[in-house]
Amino acid sequence: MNYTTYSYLLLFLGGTFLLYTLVPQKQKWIILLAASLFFYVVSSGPLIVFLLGTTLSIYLSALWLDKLAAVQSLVKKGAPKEDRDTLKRHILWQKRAVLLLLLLFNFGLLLFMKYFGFFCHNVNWLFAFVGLDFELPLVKMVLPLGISFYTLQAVGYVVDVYRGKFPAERNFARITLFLSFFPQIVEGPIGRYDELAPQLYEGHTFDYERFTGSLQLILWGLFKKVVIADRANALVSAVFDHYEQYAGLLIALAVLAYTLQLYAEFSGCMDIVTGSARLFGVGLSPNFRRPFFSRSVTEFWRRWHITLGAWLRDYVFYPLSLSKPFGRLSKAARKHLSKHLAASLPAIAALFFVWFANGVWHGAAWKYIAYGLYYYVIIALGMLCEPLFAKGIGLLHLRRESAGYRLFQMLRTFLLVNLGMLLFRAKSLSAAVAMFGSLFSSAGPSLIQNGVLNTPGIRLADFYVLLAGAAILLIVGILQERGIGVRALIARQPLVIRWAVYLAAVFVVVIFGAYGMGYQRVAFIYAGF
Amino acid sequence: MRIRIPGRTTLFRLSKAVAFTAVFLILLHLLSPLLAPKSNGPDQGMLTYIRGRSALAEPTDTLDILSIGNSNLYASFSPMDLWKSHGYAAYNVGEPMVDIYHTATLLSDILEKQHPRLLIIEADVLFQRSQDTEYDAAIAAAVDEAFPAVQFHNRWKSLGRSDFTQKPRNNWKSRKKGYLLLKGTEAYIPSSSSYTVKESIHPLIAACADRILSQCRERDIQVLITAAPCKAWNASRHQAVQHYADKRDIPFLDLAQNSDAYGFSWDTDSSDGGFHLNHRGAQKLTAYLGGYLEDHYTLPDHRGEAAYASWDTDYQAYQKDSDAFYAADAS
Amino acid sequence: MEQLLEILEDIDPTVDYRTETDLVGDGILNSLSIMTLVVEIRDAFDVDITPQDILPENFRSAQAIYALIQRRQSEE
Repeated sequence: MNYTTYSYLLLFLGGTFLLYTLVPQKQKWIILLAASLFFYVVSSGPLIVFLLGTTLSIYLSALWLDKLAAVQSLVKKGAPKEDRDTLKRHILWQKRAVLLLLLLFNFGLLLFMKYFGFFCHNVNWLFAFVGLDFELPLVKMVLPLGISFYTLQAVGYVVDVYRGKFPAERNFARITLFLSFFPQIVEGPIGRYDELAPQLYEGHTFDYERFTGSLQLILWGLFKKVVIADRANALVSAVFDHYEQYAGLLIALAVLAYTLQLYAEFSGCMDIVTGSARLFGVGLSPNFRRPFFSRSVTEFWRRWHITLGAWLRDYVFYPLSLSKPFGRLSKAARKHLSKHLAASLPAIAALFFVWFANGVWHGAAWKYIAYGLYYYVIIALGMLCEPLFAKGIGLLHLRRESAGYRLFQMLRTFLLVNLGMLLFRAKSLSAAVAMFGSLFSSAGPSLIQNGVLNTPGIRLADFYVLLAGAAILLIVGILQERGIGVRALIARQPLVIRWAVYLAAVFVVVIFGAYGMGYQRVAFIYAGF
Repeated sequence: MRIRIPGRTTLFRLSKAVAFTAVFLILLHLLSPLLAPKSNGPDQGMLTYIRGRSALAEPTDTLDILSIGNSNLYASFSPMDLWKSHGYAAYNVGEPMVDIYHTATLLSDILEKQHPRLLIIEADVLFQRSQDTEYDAAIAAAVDEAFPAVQFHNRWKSLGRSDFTQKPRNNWKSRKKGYLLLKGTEAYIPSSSSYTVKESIHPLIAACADRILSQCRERDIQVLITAAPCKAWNASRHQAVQHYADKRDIPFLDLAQNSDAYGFSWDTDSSDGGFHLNHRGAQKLTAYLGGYLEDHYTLPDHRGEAAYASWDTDYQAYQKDSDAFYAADAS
Repeated sequence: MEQLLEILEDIDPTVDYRTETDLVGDGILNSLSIMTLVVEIRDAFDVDITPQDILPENFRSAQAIYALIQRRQSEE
């Protein structure tokens, strides 16, 4: 069930909201659970067994970890120190074993479902390369809806219980709701148990302000997705799918259009789902904070797909850089290299795994691995060369906080991000390289033809809508950067103006939306990861 | 007092929400005449070629056979051949990839002007599934019907001054009576694999087809379901349609399964490797269907009637295109 | 405490760590610089800091960081 369809917005969301409002406080969460399971079955059918299997695995292992922790705290009192230490070690070992088992099960499932085809493909290539006449069967697997997202959320929950952040949930139905909550099951945001779960279980009574605010947010998301992203899609696929026919500025235009499409689409979807969840009084973690105002690539990734970055930080980056081997790395660097290196080397080494995981998580293809490592190289170089940069800036008498320098940083980041997007969207790694090369060539059709802008896949009128859409996103972004909430601003106006704005917004979506006759509905890109 | 205030605000807010929705719907309704196409032809900025709407331009009460369906219908059945051989006045009401809901709406519009004796349903439309859920397609069609501004919203790109002044006219005619003559030949080799998916007619589609059937019953229109050859056709679909037709006591003529009866061959009779018939295939199918109609129905022969003089001139033009097809195909 | 302040000043000398109370929220410390900091602290004070200690409230100010170090030292 796509989030932009009538059946989701009118029937499903409307019906669930009505039921949720009518049911007594204590049973409200059951409505959310039933709706989420229904949503999953409608979208993914029998594949719900994968979701339920993961749910069961985290439910049981969290309880187990809890029990081990309880044993540990019981024995602590009174026993002699030596016994305590042996027991402590013994329990720690057991806890690690439980966690390992859970990680193997869930990541094993994810890896198998997602990467088995990729693995076979490459093994076959290798066999052919060495002259072996043997082929593994290529099976295209249908992925359970949202597996890349809910697996991370599931693992995060158990690791948090392992770390003693909170006790395990004892109610299986509740843990099922935490993992399957329908607004976030398709493409996140990846939630944390301690933030999300309490909101799901406590019933929220109807609140008019919250109700209208949710609908406004959903409308804003629909604008981004249906008006901007789906329209840009025609231009983007025209060029990226037949990149051999294009060159120069047209490729650049398509890359920009793709960046716009992916941002409008992913953040638009987040607005729709955040608005959906807010209808039920549930606040989801923000996934975007105007990423294109970032001054560095590191900052960009703190503001783009925030929950993925935060997950990788908390469950990959911290544990790795604090682990013993990485500590030894730091000591060795201190002995033989500079102090700066000693401090940053563990982080840089750990970051490799973070970015490799980021790339691989997006999909089974070499281009995604290259995408992750592209950002890794930029960030690692930035960290290593930081003392050099500082010196250079001092020599040139640049002021880091001046408006000009900040703008320069933003443009530089924007450029780097767009190159990343080229890699991300290209049909393959070799296509990305070819497209990058042809950026600087003038062969192929030119950007201006017979005095008119030449936009493949869309008409000039569509292009103007895209331009206007991008301008609106930019203006809203600038306002928000200055701390001005646009919806609060509108809410302060008199009724006539308020209604005019809302009506205009609805009509923009209805009239200028790229849907209906002649348009294919474009599935959410991130839902495919 | 403290108990009554919330009640009042709730009531006030509720009425505000209702008022807002009402204003929106009224504006949407007012916008519809502007965005709705001003002609039934393909030149109105609508994104796909809306061939089926040309039936609206035919003079009142001149059509005896209407056939509905998607591209599978309008590429496989040629009314002009039927005119030549039997003098039947038939018309294809088909649009590309159209779903049954939009077909039903269009058919209702046409039935306001025409009183045919026979309605032919080409079965592929019963399997024309939406990209989303079937419920979504049904809602979308209902919204489209209630608010043409939604269905034709993409016409904002081609709005001109005349759109503000001109009244819609249905004056765009199809000389081939809704038939699309597909050129070229691309053979299709049916795969021998016995693997078949179980297919059924979605309950929503069946329900909409039932509405069409009851509409026909009220107007004394007989109904025949046919299926033209197409690579998507299979035994499972045949069973599903047969079951549907039997339950409602409607004849079902599977022209895909008994295509040998009229000498159909995938080697020569498809234009695009099994998706659609070319002109040769369509002529074979139509000739056979003409015989079937003659055997099973009493339909008037209008040849020689003054009111149908234009059909003869249309046929001459059609004959020319037909000759051109065979000439190009032979070379 | 003095030793900690020295380490902190190495990371960004322009900040007055004695008065600053929202190092994380003000963006002076991010996940990367926290990691560098933790590695240095572990070496300098010989304490074990684990991933579950990496919380914003433990790194909000120099005092908070120092409190964390003392907590860990007493546990050894």
